Amino acid sequence: MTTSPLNRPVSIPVLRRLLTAHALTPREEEAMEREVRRSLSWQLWLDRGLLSLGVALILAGIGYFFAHNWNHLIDMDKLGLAGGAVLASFLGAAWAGFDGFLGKILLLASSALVGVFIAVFGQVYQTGADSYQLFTAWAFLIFPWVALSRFMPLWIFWLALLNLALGFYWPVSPFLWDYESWTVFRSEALSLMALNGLALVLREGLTRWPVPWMDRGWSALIFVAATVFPASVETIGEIFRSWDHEVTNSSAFLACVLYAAFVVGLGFYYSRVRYSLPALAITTLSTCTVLTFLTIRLLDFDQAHLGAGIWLIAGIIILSIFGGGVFFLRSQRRSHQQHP
Amino acid sequence: MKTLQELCLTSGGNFTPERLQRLEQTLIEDQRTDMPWYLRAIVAIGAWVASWFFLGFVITLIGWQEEHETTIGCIGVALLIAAVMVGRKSWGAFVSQCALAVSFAGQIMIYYGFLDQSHHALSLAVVFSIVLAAVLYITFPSFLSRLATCLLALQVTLFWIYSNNTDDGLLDASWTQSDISSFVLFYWAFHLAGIGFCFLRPRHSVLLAPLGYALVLSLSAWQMEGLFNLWTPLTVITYSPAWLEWMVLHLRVGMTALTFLVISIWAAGGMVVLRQKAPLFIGLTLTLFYLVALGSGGVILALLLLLLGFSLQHHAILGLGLILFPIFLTHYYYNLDLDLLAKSGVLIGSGLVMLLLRGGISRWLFPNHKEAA
Repeated sequence: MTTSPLNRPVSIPVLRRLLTAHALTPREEEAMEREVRRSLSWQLWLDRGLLSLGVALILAGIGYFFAHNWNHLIDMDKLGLAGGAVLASFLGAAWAGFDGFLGKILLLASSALVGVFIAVFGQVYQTGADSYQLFTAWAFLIFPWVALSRFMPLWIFWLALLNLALGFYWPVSPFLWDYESWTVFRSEALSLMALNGLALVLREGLTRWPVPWMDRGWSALIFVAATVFPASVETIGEIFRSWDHEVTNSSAFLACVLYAAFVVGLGFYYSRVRYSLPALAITTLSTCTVLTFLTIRLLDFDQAHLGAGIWLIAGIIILSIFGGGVFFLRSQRRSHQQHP
Repeated sequence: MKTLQELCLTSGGNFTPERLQRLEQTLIEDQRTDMPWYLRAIVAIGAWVASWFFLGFVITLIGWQEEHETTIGCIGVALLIAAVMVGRKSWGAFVSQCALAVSFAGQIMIYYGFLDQSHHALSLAVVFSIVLAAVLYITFPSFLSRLATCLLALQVTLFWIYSNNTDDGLLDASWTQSDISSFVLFYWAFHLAGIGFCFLRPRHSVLLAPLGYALVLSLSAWQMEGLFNLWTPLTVITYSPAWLEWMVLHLRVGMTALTFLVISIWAAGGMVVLRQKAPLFIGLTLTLFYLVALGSGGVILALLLLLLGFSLQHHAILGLGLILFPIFLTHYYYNLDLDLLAKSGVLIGSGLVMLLLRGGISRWLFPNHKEAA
């Protein structure tokens, strides 16, 4: 059954639009706006904002303290202080309780401090480890806390570490047949897309079960953006690489076909299976961007003297691409408003 | 969150069943036509990219030669008039987007065509941008067009103020340093007052919301530009003697803090609440005064945007505040003129103050609240 819009929660921008449409008088609108403003979650915002800020400032202060005394400390002191900071914040999190916001923030802090500990360890013992090894070790060591925390920002932090590890891995990977910048770029883009795509699939799969901490809409958007961005960059790279006379068009064609299948799949999922307009908007923006670059390539803008007609056609095509994207998004929105 | 039905019952207005039905119809129509900010952003990106191709078309058509500059300007005027005429019709979203793209292209042509040869290019650009913004605000009822033209006018004027180029001809050479400093202060105050005027009164925001957003963006850009010392190579404002420099810096921050105080009183419910919770607002005033004395202007501006965005439920302003806050805070602490140990102490002390403040707020301001899961 469709709920009447009168019985849905109302926001201040909606009230102001009702005023614009002369459906409310200014006096009525102002009274309603005051009422809505009073019911906003001021306490929650202040509480969490001040807590996060306080912890961040103290952590930064500890960092400056280390920096100041670095040259005066012996190796064991350095290791002890870095390890002690990890232990102290972890014990603080255990004391505060892992389910409370304070406990989660302290767990996030201790996870960040593990990285400081690894860096200090690497410096003291001159391990000569590559950057990717540092980030992999960091992600490996904090994984139990990440799993324990049931805190989406900590999962995102963990995923960011894996992204960094992958990003630093390819330039030194023994599995690459050459170390041309293009090969490294392609390997990085594809592997990041696969990693973040896997995280997205897992996140979407797990939300089918009643896991309230997992069901944070904004986190899905971060995963979608993290998956779509490398996919788009890789496809655009393949499109432009086909301008090189020594390269065949087949890899660009294949990339476009795979990219099309990828965005159609995402579009289908977020329009039919689990509706999310912001996720669709990210996908659409990416598609429009790739299509714009494809247009530039197909119209062969790499010429010394471009005709006026080519400019005009390109402009009209690009407007049509973005217009089509916006039309798709608006029709999705309308359709889900009518049949939520 | 309350529903509109509940608000109608509690607001004391005269809501008959017929009026409620009309409200429902308006809401349905609003949901049909309204676009979230990210859809508007996609429209703007598409129009902006396409406008450069249209520009390329016109320039290629008539040839890129200096004697054709005025022709390009005239074509720009013609395109702008056509875009406005088309944009005023309700011919659908796609046609509106085309009109927006053509209007952007037309404006670029006007600036290029009429300004490049002029001896007073910058001053003329200010005049053009203000006139174009005003004319298009009235004639072209597109949110994005209004936002873009107002933002451009505000930033071009800012550039003009700081460049202080007396060779430009329109600035009187007799202007003194303090005159220009006052002008900078006045322009800052204009931004803050404009934001309040456009957003705090609902009946103003009906028409002036795009201008309000442009002022928010321009002020944020100004503060960010200051972070990178963008204006230092341009400006000849030396703020001598030293007390004047101190005044200029702190007056700007002070005005931002004052605006923060006014908006917080407004968000809390106005003068009635101010009288009821006077000690709280005295505490806030003292805190703001302390922040002003510290010279943390960017931080106060970011806090102002956070407050404004949260109390108006404007996600775009709130998001901007969330992005700017850590940037300005980091910049402030990084640039403190202290050694590392002292800086460490200041940071840890500030963190502890935040935690104490949190405890105090939970205990005295919201004593009945339990932490949400």
